Amino acid sequence: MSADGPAGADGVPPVDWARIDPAARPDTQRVVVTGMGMVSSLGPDVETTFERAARAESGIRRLTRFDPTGLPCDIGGEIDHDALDPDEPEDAVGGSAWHLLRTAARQAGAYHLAQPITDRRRVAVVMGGHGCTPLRRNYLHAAHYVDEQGDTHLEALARDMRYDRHQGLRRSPDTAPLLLARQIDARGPVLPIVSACAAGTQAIGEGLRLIRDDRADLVVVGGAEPLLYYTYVVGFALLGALTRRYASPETASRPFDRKRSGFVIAEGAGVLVLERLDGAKARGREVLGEVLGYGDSADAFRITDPHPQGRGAFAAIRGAMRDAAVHAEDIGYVNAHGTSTAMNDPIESAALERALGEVAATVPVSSNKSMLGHAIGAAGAIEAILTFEGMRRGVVLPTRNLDAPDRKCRLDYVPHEARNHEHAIALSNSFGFGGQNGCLCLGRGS
Amino acid sequence: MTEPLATVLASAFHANGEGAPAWRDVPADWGPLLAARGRTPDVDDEPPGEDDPALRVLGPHGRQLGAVLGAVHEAGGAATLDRDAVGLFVATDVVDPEPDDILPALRASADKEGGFDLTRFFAGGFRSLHPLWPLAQLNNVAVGQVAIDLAVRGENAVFGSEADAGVRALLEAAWSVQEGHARAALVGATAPRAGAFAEARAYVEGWPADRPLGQGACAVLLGTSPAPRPRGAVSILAGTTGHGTGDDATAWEDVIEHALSSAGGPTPVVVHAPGEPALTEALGALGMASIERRDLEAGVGHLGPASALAVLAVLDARPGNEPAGAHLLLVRGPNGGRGALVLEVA
Repeated sequence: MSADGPAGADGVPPVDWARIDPAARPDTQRVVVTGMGMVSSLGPDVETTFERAARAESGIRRLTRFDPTGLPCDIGGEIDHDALDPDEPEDAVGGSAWHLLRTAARQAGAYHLAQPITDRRRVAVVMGGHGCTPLRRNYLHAAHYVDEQGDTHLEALARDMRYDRHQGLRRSPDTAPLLLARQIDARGPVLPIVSACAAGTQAIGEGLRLIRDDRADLVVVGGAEPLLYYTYVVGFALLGALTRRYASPETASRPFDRKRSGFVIAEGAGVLVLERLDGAKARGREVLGEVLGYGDSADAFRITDPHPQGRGAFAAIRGAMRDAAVHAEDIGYVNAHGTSTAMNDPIESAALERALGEVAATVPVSSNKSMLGHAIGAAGAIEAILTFEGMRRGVVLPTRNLDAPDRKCRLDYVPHEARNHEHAIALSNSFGFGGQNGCLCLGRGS
Repeated sequence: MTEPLATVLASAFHANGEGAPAWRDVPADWGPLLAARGRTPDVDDEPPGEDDPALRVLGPHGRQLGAVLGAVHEAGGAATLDRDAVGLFVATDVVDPEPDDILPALRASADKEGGFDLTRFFAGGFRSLHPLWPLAQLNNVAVGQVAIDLAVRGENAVFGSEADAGVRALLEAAWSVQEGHARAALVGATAPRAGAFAEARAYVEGWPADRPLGQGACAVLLGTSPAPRPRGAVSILAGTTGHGTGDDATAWEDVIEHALSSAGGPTPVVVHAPGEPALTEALGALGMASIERRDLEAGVGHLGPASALAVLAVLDARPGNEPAGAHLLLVRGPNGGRGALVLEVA
């Protein structure tokens, strides 16, 4: 693929990317943000999270939800669910995924911002995330009813009241987005995206498309991920993706640093309300930002590793810039995927160097995961919100724990301290396990 | 009627698993699937070897998915296109572990009361788990492996996880083609409901023990087709997804009305839908009670996310045998998600 589009090597004209031209796009085609809400390891809302991140504080600590003794990684970005929404505790069907999503959606104003839309089929929900974690006790209970031949004794299992009747629904990625759609009376498309670490970014991108394609007037987008339960943590630990070497929880996530050794898993939720600009104006809404463009791609390289030259990452970044019709010199900041893994950080840096060309070294790049940890399907939404908030405040968040950059990481990573920096256009990257990539081009929306 | 968003260029299906209502058991009416345009690719059902990480990551559902997507990729000529311009949109169910994958580790880590002993697990029980097993539990990883196998690098998304997810994948793929983001789009879906944990999950939620879960995978390749389209060609005109409780007729009315109005208001000649009372009530309220109705699931079992693609594959595999005109395809998942597609059979 060339830098400017598919090469058309099959002898037919290449994809007509140029016909998507935001410069000529009317208000009916411009998509703005009118609500934002968040729950993260740094705090129960956007303001707290941003301000603590701006002070380079860490939300990583030793896990408390279960005893992690013996695990190769015993830390994470945990959320105190009990402190979130005491009037609406977790329920059996939606579980903690729904609890996190509902809390962030309320903050974002999703419940009242959608009310004036009279045709409820024009209100949609697009949400990244993978549902609730399968619980160890459910596996154990089911395992008791599998005999040596592998047959399951279902009726006996069904009589065992210890087996959780609702765990199937809780695990389904559909459940929390559908519950939200019912509560806000959104009768348009409900799209649960399950693209691993790219899901939150892809959800925002798909929401952008729904509005641009005139399939919806208002879309509640984002991601929610309640990850810090035993099964998930053990799974990621066995994969070898989590950091195993750290002096303290707070210093464990160190994107772009020479001593990084893996990511720190976290939970969280981020929700944004997207509307057409003309509709937002008509309803007198405050515009918090604009989604200018979206690019996505597949690495199609190796299931456990990103492409070594960042081919898929580059394609997604350039796709977002092309969709937004912006040039490298327009980019004021990049919110990096920045996982703190050995492979991601230099490859993402190389993809950014290639996509931004000569100006790459002058564009601030930072990783929120250095402070929050990695919330997988919610990460893209959380990071997009922090990017919008940074543009609104003229602040670039720092990369914590970056003491000595990897020699293959040659960009300006804003180490240790936030920076005052007015900027109007930013990129936000997400690259998933399995090779799915997404990039958003975001605007201040002034 | 409006112009189609995209047309089915190729279709494929695969059924698998003992005890499941495989395609070979479906009524004769569906027989042409086995010999006509739809492909029935071979799938290696043998457990993967320890040294084959790709198969290990794919799992049984991923191997089916890879086979059907590979078949339409080849049959539809997608391999001749620029790889960056071919999209990949997939609907997947919740991924359940195979008992053999985890039971040895659980048993090796059990305490005297049968509970889970973490110390035993990390002292050696964990060695019974394949290192790639956790990765295979992510919904999108099999899709990533398919993208590698087919070298498909364009737009992509993975949707979960019930019957309406297949409609979502089809619609997003069709829009990607219609908007020019992709020259062609592969769409796949699996119904990976085989296995003890999946059966246990379904059973305790009320699925009848004597009614087998459907198994299989379906795929279509969507692209553009010049007008006039060949007889029997199946196109997607419009569609939508929505939600409601199981007995909510109004929710059915909403998605049907929305889909038909988006398609320019055609009157369907056939409705493909499950035979549930709320839908019957909704069709009656919309003045569509007399339209012919077919229920694929009655023949092949509940295919979950693959339900909608299965209907497309059936229609595509029988060119000229289905009545021309608009077909309305409706699906519903157990959590109330609904999907409606308006199709044109040329």
